[in-house]
Amino acid sequence: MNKATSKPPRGRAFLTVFLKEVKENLRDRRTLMSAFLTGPLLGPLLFVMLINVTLNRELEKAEKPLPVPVIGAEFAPNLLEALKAGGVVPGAAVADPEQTVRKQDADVVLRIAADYGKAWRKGEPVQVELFYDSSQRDANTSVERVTRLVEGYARQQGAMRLVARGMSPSTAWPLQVARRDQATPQSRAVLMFAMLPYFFVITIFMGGMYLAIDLTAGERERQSLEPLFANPVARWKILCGKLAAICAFSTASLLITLLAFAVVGQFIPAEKIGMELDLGLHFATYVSLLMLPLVLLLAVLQSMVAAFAKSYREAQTYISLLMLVPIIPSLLLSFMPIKAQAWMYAVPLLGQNLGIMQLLRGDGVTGEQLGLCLAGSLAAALLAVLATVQLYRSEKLAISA
Amino acid sequence: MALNGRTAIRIGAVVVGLGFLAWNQMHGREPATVPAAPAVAAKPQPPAKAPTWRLGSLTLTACELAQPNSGLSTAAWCADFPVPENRTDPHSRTIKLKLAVLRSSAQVASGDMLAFLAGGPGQAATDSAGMVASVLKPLLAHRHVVLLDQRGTGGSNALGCKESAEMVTPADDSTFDANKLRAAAADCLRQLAGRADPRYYTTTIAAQDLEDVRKALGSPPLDLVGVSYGTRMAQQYLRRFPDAVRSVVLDSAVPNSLALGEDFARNLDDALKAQFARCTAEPACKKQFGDPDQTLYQLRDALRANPHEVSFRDPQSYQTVKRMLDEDSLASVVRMFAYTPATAALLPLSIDAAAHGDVGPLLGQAKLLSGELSELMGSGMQYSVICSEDADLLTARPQDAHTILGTRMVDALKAVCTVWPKGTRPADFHQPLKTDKPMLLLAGQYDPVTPPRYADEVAQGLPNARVLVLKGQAHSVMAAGCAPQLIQHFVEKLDPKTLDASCLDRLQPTPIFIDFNGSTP
Repeated sequence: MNKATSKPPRGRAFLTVFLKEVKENLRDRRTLMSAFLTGPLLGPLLFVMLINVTLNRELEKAEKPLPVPVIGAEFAPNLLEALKAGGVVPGAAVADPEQTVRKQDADVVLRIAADYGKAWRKGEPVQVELFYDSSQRDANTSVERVTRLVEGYARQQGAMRLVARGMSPSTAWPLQVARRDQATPQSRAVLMFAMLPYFFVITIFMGGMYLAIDLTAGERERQSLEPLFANPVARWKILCGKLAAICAFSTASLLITLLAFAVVGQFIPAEKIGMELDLGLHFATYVSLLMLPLVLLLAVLQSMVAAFAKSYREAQTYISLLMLVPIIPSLLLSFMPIKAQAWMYAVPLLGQNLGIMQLLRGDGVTGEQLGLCLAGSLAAALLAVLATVQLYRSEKLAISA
Repeated sequence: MALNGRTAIRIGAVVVGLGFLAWNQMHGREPATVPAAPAVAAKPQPPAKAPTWRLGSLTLTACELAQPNSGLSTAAWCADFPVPENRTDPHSRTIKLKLAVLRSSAQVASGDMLAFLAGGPGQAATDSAGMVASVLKPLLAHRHVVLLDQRGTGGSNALGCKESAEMVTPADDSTFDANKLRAAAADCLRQLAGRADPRYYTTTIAAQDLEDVRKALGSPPLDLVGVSYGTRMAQQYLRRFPDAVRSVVLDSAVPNSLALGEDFARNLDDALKAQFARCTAEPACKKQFGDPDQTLYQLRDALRANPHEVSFRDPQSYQTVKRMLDEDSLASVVRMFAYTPATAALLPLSIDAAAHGDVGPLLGQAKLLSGELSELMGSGMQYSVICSEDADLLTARPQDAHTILGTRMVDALKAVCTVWPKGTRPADFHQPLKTDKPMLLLAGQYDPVTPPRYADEVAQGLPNARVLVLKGQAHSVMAAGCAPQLIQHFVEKLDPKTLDASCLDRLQPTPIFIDFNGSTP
């Protein structure tokens, strides 16, 4: 510190501050861990683990034998045979089907009415009941499967009853739905990977966070900010040096995480469910381009928020709250199906989010969208820089309470 | 400015509020954009050009493949593929083959392609597009599927003939008339004259067509999936072009040594007896029908003695129509019913009703089935294949005389082949196949045409083959139960020996209908 503050040549004040901060923080193990390890690697690892678990569960559920407790199995042996052929393993009857599904002892319970046999022989319709708890997301695949099997059996038996009478089943079902799903495997993957943009934002955030706190609130607490400002250098130059240091760290984090995603992308078993996922060079290039203005914006925001704090701890609290803001676009997009309009690309965070999603869909980003995204975020970042510069002019900033 | 829990909650509430605000804003904007839409629509749009897809040296166009008698269609990519009708004469007539590719949704599809080989002979591969797309769906995620209408079928210069009016009048008695069949065949030949020479519509020549198509597609290794007659095609293609094949799935296999038609009578009787034995083994069914096998033969004898005209309701139009009910029509209904488990389960009921004078169901069902099979049975394509490849090896067996089918199939084929032009077949055509390519053979337990012993026979001398018999199933079984997954695993891993086929144990025969409301509950 002493070395750096001893009369820097005026023109190089920016560079001196930048180099000093970078050097100093490279020595700090906590900052390094957060910027280059936890931040960038946690996302990809978490992502792969989550995807692997979900995918494998879904795949297993779709193919593996499915245990289903059946009440009244004795009334419909042939229906049960049909279910068995579809992979259902009928289990012993349970006393209380409602409680069984609520306590997750079973995904689905099937109850066959006592008059099933009588109604069947008379040609009257009769119901079978499926008990399940739709709030157990896990159960949905199983419910879907059993429903499909029971309805398929009913439909097949109905068709055979008509044929047995010498009639055509197509008279009863005059219309058929032919589904033409235009989703490409990549666009299908999007549903699952909607949180990916958030990972990138968080990485940038984490990469610069400790630096941002340390450079304002930290220095103020250590009372080293005052001597720094006492130098005959414009404060905005000092601020720019600090910002550049923060940006350098968060950019490095972003690059590490992109590299990590490119590597772990190989281990995501997306092809098992007919998806294609390309997180390679093309993807990384576009994401880093989209994210660059955001790097600056977040660095300024972090510095600004930290500048309000009286101590290091307080700054930490504020900044963790700030971390919630970037989640908004991701949440918005996953809960509400929004058709992207051109202006949305100019909104910081939202624009990046839309752009990354489009890359994942395999649609690519057009030049116009890219321009809007860069311009919008950059403008916001510059505004924030100006505001922070104003803030730095205040005398209160330098003096610790 | 200190933050406590309550403040955090307040901030959270604001975040959520902002979210809704933004949402309302975006949705509020939508109506403003709506009036602009009609202005765009009002502009006369030029008709959209059909998208094309370049594959190998071919340019395919987006198309819809209709599925006969279902109203459904399947999206695919189509092209016409011209080939010389006579491959030894470059100046001969050019015929167009209908080629369709079901496109994989993968961005970069696997290097090999699946090729579906349809049955018959006479069925068109593109007619099966819907079934193929659903059975091979897991494989379609990574591989394109080639559907080539074999020459003489579907959109590839089909050798179909309209029956002339006097042939279908039911006035005659039911005695077998070779002269009538010969006259019908000659009439069919007259219809085909000028557009086809039946001598060139054989399996061997069609295999050459498939190889040309494969080369045009960029020479991908093929995973052959053949059904019924398609398994003969697969074996012949594999013999001539072993390097073009990556793997083979044979569903309802026909051994090379077999002359098509030879065992029809015996196999049908075997399958019927096995199906009816299920009924006599079940108390409810036995109580209802006694011995369906016996009833069937009694009905046959009664119809042989007294063929008569009956009226019944057409299942589609519900008009009252009149038909001749005789030994022949009974045999063909029973034969077609035995092809699938669902219709086979109806046989005891239909036979019993007919034996008691209620022929409506049986004839209605016959009409339903004939809708599906009318173009196939007795088509020129079938004659071209069988007359060139099998007829000289066929002999009517006296021991078949008492069966439901009798010797009429063999007699009919031999009669037709006396007038039908014959092509040539290679000397080794009927030699058993020898190859170490990975092969999966599927067979249905109650198959009335290609019983499981055929698959065993084909698998002899194939070191890398596996035979799976599907319980309760009949002819063409690749869609049954978990067979699609097994095909997928086989094509992906190419290791038939270690294939875990335990899921097939879950397959069950279809319970037999004991009355018009179905089987026991």
